[in-house]
Amino acid sequence: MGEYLDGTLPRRQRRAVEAHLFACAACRRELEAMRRTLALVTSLPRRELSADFDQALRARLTAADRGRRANAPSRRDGLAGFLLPFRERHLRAPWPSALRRLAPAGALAAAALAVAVWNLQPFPGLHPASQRAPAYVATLVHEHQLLKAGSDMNVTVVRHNLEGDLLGDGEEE
Amino acid sequence: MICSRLAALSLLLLAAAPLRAQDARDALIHSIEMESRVSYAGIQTTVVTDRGKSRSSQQVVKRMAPDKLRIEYLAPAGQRGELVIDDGQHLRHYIPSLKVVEEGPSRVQRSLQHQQSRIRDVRAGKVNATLTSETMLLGRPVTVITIAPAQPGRPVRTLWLDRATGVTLQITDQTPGGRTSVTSFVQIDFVPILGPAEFQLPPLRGVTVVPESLGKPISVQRARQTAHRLWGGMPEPAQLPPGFRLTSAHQLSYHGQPVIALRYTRGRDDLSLFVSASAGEPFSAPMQRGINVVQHPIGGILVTLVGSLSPAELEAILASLRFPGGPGGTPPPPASRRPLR
Repeated sequence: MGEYLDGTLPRRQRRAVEAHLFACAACRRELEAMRRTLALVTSLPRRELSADFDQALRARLTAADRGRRANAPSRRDGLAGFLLPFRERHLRAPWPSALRRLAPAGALAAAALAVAVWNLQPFPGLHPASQRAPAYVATLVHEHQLLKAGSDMNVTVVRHNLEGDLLGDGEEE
Repeated sequence: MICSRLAALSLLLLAAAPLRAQDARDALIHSIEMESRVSYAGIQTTVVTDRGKSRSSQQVVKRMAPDKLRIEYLAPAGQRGELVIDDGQHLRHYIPSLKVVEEGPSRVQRSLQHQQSRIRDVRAGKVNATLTSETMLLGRPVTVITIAPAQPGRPVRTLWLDRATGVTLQITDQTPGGRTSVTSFVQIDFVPILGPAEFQLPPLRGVTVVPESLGKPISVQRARQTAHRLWGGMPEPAQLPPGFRLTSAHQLSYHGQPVIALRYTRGRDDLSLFVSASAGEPFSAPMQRGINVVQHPIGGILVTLVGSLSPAELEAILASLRFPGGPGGTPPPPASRRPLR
């Protein structure tokens, strides 16, 4: 989602995200929340850093890392040891530009989003092909399902029960 | 003598016409004003007829003043258990068969927000309403009003308005395309016992929340006219598997571009044919159990078939498409197209 917001996601993956976003209100809300958070953070006043800030920060990080390594699991320590190389690689990986100053909040948001996406299967029994479908096709499949479920009858019933629609505010045709 | 009587009768009729229009306007204004003041609960039926084929539903409708609405479907079997709840902030439609909740802004609230402007429109004569009759329905005195459409192609509406409460006990829409829809209460209670809990969706597990449907039902004739205007014609299959019938038509919008859908059914089998002027790539894949998709750009339009048939059957239907509006049944020439996102 970070890469999607940064606009750095490859075209095919971007389409897949958009297809999912089109059909998933929860993820759209999540995306909007991330956008707002980013906008808020980027609107904060910038402070000039001291000349030795970078050097001092690196020194403190190195010292902290040494302390952690002393208590860290070794490669023989089961799952924690197995995950060690992945953890180290990801700790070294650069953050997306806009999220650099947002690491803690970003990590929380990303975790929440991952849980939301994990829990929100678009439709029961969804075939993996639908994840690759263009957003337009995904939308039409959704519409097809709604029509099958009688949503057009529902449109008529709802309109007939709303005073505003009786005078043509949302008329058919 | 006869001439003078006829002239007198004409004068009486001429004088009566504005009165009847005024009566119709008064009844409409009363109905609009009462919208946010009346609570009721009742059982309602809706029958939609198009091209000789009818579909019907039965639903329990509850309205709690000022801004809450609940519709619970009893029939048909495929819709039983569906729930529409407008709590004054959101309209949510729970579809158990899909495990989906459609969500959109409150329609009741929108209706109430436009209450004053609608009353102004009626007062100003912008709504062409006439009093048809005064009669009884469900043992209650009602005023029957006919509203002529302001624009061609829209339906003629007839409303049976309860004289005491202003509630619409029956409504009939008759489109020029021949689609008719009738919704009427078969039972109604104006002193219902209602609580706020009835206007909240119960906790639902494993459902997906999606935006409300983008489509609206239109007559088949209207779909063909619209497609003809937009793309020179509506492609329709010359060959369909035995038993399939064209049952309904719909208009959708995708990123502001119109999409027309024709729906064919055969028992539980179904097929939706979507047409738009957008640029898209050929696509063919099973989407999920029981749903396949085939998509091809043809001439200046993009045709997408979605249905329970096999991809090979969908391809065969796609190959048999004819353009009634086009010369010799050929597709229209390519038009300027926008790529789909």
